[in-house]
Amino acid sequence: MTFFLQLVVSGLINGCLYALLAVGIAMIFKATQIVNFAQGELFMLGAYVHFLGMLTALRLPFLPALALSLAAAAVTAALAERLVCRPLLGAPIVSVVIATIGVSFILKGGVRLVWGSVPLPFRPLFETRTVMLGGLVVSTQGLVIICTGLGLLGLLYVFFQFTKLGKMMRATSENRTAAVLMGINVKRMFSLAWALSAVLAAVGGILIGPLVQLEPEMGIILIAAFAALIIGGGFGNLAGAAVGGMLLGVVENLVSGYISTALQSLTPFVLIVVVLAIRPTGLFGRGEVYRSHLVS
Amino acid sequence: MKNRASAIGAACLVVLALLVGPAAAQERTGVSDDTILIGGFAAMSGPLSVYANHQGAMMAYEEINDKGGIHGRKVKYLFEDTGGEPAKAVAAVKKLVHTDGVFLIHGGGAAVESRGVRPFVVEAKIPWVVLQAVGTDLARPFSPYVFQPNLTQHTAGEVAADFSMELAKNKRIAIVRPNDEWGREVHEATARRLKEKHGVEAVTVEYLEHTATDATAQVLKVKAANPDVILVFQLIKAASLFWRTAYDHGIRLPMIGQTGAMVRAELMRDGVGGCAPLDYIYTVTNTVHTVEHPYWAEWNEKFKKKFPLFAQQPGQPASTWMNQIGSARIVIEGLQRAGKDLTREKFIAALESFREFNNGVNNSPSTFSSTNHFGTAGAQVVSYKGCKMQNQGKFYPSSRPSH
Repeated sequence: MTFFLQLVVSGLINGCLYALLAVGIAMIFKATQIVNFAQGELFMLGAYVHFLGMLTALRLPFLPALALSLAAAAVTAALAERLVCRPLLGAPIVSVVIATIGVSFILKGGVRLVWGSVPLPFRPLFETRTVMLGGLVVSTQGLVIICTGLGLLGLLYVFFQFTKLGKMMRATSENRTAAVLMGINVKRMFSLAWALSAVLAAVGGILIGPLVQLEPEMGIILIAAFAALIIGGGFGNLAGAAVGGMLLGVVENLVSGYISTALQSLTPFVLIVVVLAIRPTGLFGRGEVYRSHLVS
Repeated sequence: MKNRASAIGAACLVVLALLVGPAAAQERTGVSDDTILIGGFAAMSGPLSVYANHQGAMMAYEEINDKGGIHGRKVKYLFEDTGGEPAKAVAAVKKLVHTDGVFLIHGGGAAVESRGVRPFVVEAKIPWVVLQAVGTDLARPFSPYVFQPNLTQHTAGEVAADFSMELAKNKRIAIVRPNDEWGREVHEATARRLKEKHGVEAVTVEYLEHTATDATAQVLKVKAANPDVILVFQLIKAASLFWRTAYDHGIRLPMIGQTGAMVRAELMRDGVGGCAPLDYIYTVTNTVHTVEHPYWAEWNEKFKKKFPLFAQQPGQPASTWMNQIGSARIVIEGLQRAGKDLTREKFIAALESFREFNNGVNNSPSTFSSTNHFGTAGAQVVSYKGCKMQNQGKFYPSSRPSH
């Protein structure tokens, strides 16, 4: 039982990171119908700016470094939306995809130019590395990831359900024309969606930094985030993205632990196939399914 | 009659010149009275650039140029960035050979980009001394043009196996590696050595990808197998993740990595979360002195002056930089032995004359022959006890890879 629970807890740590990234992607898609392929690089940028703030030239305490990092991610995302994606509204989807991929390359290249490609260790934030929870070994940082991840997702729910700004963002994503008619500044909502999404990604990067080493290729975690979205119920489903992410993290670990560690990297793809075979719209998707009558 | 004989003689001379001329010219391509052109390639950008920069080789060639060159000729090292991509590596080498007309290729920072270059080099009949890539397959099958002077995965695996058996009281060895060609190669060499020399098989083999963000499953399964020693054949990021997680889960066993995980002690300390886990960590090394040793102090200073931006990056110069210096010194010695009347054939013969050549950098002296172009047959081990990189001193001979 300890073995099972240990795998579940460490799976939840990864799952919370996947969820933060996936929810961010879903938020942008819901608002603007754009799939942001640079989300992984915003995750990476958050970690690097925090590293810069705390550990190198600036030597800032934790909170100012955090604020700097989140601000950098938010501004970068807002600029990407304003300068790269907004001009492409209405353009073919391929153009938009390529544009966001271009943004990801620019961010990666920029980080590599400044910090190089050597994996950079990020010292843990806590002196105590692990805590024992009922016989389970849990890293202090891992505990912070779970609490922060769940807390942020909860805050997001409250934001969208109960705040005026959140409702305005929801209105924009539900019906852009109606939102305009209601006097909502739709373009500002786009920028806000991107900025908020970047903040979620940056938080993920800062949280994982002490557990893995920073490198410009960190954004590859995006693959898991996309898998989480598909499993959860599609690119516009925030709740599905959150649950999909956490489920993916746990299942990855259980597969590694009980079947083979060689299958860990395959798990997201196998899970996608299994979930879509059972429920084609994803776990929480609500779209219609059109079956081809050409193949019976 | 006389005129006819003269005409036939002249025609024969022309034909002979046409046949011999291009071949002779090709043999000396890249060589002038005062210059030898050497072509290099590696990833100066992209994710592989961390391992595959060329500054060490460049500095070694500058050193020999400052001393007067090789038989009065200065070395000009032309370098192309591959971005770590095989297609770009092939394009780079084609440019170096056809456009720049280099005499030989001294390139290849990583095996993944270098594999595609081999068929072209063999077809073009141009000598290629691998810069620092560790792939054993780069020199397989045998080609007279390809030389692999570096510590290969084959050698690293055998040395790790032999060292692990010194520490393993109950001969229980666990292996952790990525599920790719790089991991497979070192694993196979280790498994073969453990079985043939020590009569032992690994108690478990677990897989951890280079991009993993969690190693809990791997650690728990290794722990459950109850090994004495864990061989962690990973690059530094995944190796640090495993070592840190293993320590957090109470594993206090010797853990041996290979050169891909060898970084300066301060980076290692930060990567595993402190000095305490370092007491259990070892890495295989192919250099006599660690990069932190006073032997490299002067070189470190030169490096900082020559590459100020690069030197500011944490961990630079990395251990890979020493490997490049070592392989450049092998090229230089080969060029010196080939003599003033330099041709590709003579250069190849010169390299094949190496018997235990000591380049002052690598702990395994280089030996090549007309039937074996793998230069390295053994290595040493570095420990990180007390947060200090220290070569353990003992040399572990390995078998020379075959073609």
